[in-house]
Amino acid sequence: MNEKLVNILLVEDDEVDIMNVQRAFKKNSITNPLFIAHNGLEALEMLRNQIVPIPQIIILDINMPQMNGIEFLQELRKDENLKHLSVFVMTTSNEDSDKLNAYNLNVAGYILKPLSFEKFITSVATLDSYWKLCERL
Amino acid sequence: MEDCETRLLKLNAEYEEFAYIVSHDLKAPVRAVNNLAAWLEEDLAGNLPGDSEENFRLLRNRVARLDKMISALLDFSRVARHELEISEIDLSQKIEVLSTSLTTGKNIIIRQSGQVPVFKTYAGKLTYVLQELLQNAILFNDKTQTEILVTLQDETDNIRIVVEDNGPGMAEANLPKIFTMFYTSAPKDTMETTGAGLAIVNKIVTFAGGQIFAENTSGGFRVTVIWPKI
Repeated sequence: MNEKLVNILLVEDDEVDIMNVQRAFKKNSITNPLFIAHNGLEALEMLRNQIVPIPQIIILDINMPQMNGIEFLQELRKDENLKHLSVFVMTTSNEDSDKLNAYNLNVAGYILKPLSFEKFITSVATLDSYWKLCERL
Repeated sequence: MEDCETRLLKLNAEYEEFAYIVSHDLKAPVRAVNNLAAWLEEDLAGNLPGDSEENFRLLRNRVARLDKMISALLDFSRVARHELEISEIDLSQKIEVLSTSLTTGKNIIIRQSGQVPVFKTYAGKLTYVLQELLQNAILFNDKTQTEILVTLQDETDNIRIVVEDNGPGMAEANLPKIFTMFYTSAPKDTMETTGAGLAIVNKIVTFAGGQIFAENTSGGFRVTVIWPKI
């Protein structure tokens, strides 16, 4: 089977959280190209100007300066060229209101950043099995 | 002039902002510290002197404790705002369910005495109170066999719930502190408790218009909750 690795865009402002995702990728032997934007505005610019290859999957932090995750999602869903992208929301917040806001904007999943790195590795492994499916389509 | 409603809305907005800060802004750096410590430990594995290994363990433990304390602070602040639904509660059945989940596989006996009618109240909050009282009675018990007796009594305007255990009780001098946030008699290394449970319970009972008190008995500890019927 001819599998093509899906591109992943991580929208995250916290350097340690970026490292967290990168380390979790390594631990799970995930080799998909990972692009990074540090806030919602930067992510939109990267997508609209095709600075990155259009990723099929976006991992989005909610709590960011300069356009937070929910605002970014609203913009994304309004954009004809980008509205089909799968977005996984990743946040510390266990607040119901954030979850509802995110689900109303049609997200593929919601990942709670756990305190322990081990738990996060498991979450990323779950994501990996999802985009492996995408690669076969 | 602001009217009452505007002020209330403002207060609510302020509270929501506070809760947001606690759940996002305070938790993020705690998680970062935890991750960085875990990565340092992982990258240095095998090359760490014994002392440093122990210090890493303590670091992880304290960070996890801080994380729990932040969550508890959030729970404490939510007492008057969350889980406000009023629904029927069957106390005997609720205690039965909680007992099963708390005692399975352990040498613990929870008995019940007395009956009260099914009544309407903040069912979620009362369940939290029961669970916390039972958990405490179990956690601090020092006997081979933990024994807990829950007595229910129907009074005119209230339900009286008494939870008695055969544990070590509490030094009389410390009794007044047990409903204080983060007060605990357990060593700081213990992860099961940060000393927030009874403070939250006290806040819930007061919010519901009830009363709570704790005392030593000849063979253990007793907590009494007077919970108003609506």
